Amino acid sequence: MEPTERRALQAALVRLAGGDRSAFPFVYAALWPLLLRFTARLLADRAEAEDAAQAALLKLFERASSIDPERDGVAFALGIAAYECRSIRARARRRGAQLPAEVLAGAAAKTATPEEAALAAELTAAAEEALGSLRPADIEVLRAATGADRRLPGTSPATFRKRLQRALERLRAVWRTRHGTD
Amino acid sequence: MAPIELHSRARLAYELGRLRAAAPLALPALLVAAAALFIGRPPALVASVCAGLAVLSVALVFARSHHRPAVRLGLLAGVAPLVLPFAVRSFGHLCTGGACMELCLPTCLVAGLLAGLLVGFRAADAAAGRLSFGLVAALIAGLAGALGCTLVGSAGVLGMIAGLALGSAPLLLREQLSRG
Repeated sequence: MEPTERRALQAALVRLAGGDRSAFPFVYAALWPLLLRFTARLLADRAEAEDAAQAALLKLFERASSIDPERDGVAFALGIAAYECRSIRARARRRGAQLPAEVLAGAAAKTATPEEAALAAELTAAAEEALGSLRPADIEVLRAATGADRRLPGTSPATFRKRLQRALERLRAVWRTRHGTD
Repeated sequence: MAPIELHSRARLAYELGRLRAAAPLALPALLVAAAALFIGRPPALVASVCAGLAVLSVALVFARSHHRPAVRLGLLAGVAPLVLPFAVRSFGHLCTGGACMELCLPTCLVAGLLAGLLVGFRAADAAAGRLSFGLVAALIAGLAGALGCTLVGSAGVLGMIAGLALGSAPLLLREQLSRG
């Protein structure tokens, strides 16, 4: 989701929380595909993902009055969706339902759960997106900082540290602008 | 679930959620009713006024959340005109020399004035929508306090309303003018 879209959705959620019904169509139109994409990443079964997204959407609207304007409403919505996905998986486990092969393989290999993997992938994509918006010189400094010798050819260690500090500050600023948090 | 059905259910969930969040504001009307019955107000009058107060409180907050603090303030401000006339009447008349004076009617005016000042000052502090904040708070305070002032009859209620208007209007008007 683009930062501008996210900000617009946050503003609409705040209006809806205050009782402004005119924000409802926009929030519905923006949240439904977002929740569906999110639950589809967490649940292998398309029908289950749709059920989870629907349940999350209804719960979100039911609790819309309690949305805190100071907090991220999109994160709140995704939190409800993640909870619905967990509930559906727990129900499936209780029923003894067959889990998809890739989920079983993941569990056998002691890797992250599908939910953790999806969240990690989303975080990686967001980090790459933020990095991509930096100047090439900043990207070069950050790449050098993650290298084995942690230095930039042709610069003194003190200059490198200063450039690294500035690049990190710019990266934080970009992240804060897009995601509203450090 | 079809998209249209999901949309309708989402809208219904939203409205029910708002109603559930606003519903607790009906409870203070029960307290007002208990107090009014305690001071001897007729049950039919108490029931109708308190039902109106409960419905109005819930409806205002159901419609817009920013009415919540105004409704709370109105309920708080209404305590003075609800209780003071009864308290003053319990003390009897004020007698100085050979003349006795009934204080109930002035009490309603003063209690309304106190409620109006509280509403006016708090409305002036409100971040936005001061006029609607003040009007909502004054309306709720008037309804809550009216039961106490009916001890003096309709003159008591009118006195309280006059006091409420006198207390709150200047502050609200000053705020409106300073913003305009």
